[in-house]
Amino acid sequence: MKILPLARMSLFATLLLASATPTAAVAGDGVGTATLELENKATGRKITTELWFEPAGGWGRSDCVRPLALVGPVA
Amino acid sequence: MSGRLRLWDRSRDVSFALGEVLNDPKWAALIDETRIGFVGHSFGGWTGVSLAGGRYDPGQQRSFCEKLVKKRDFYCNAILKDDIAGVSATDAAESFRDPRIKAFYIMASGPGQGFIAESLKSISAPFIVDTAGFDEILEPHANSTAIARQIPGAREVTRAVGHFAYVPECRWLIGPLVTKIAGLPLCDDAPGVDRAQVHRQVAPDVVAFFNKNLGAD
Repeated sequence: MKILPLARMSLFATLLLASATPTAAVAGDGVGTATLELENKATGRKITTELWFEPAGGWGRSDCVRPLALVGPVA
Repeated sequence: MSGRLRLWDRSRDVSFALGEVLNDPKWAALIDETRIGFVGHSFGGWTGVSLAGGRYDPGQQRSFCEKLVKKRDFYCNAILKDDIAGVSATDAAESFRDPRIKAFYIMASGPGQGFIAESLKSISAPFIVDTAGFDEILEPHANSTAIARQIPGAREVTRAVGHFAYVPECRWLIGPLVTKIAGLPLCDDAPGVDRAQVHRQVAPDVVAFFNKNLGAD
């Protein structure tokens, strides 16, 4: 199985996207963000989930940044 | 490898994550369960079709790719090099439809030739297929356009852009360098394409679609 080349590609894709610059379309907006590390015990798969939400009372605000690091292999 | 072969794992992942969030009172309080929409790009678009009710036969997709001789896209070239002997696909054709999701907007999506035609005809949710006309990864006619034509009521929007025009802009030097190493044209846009401008066009289209089909506040 050619696992290594794909894993390398995925890593590079992730690194690249993680290094990309968020666009101005969201600059200056404040959104709440949270990262959930979930595990589906039925399948054994771990899932990182990025939540963006409109901050309500009691929630902190942070600059809006795309969850770029979560982008997986594209093809 | 399962990332591009066991695509249906993504559908399960989305439904699982959605369930976890909705079952957590802290998050559920922030979500209107009647207004959940889906946006996806590339394999994310495939996942949207799956969650809308599209059932998939990976053998059908592979056969399609094998029959292409001269015009194989990046995806077909990649999977035909994969050794699939150890990859189970017995659960591929299950339905992963998630009725909690009410509307779908997908971009530069695929692979589209493995979906079972009858299952695509059964999709009734509001659906937009945003096609990258110069898609070099998932050839647009066989993927996005084919999907759009089989889903009743789906609307196709075609833009004169490549596959990666939808993803974030790349930083000077770093992005192109990593792209070269990765062997994926993540930072390359077709001549005349301004990625930032594309984003300024796509974003309001997505918002308008969901406002119309999920109801604006």
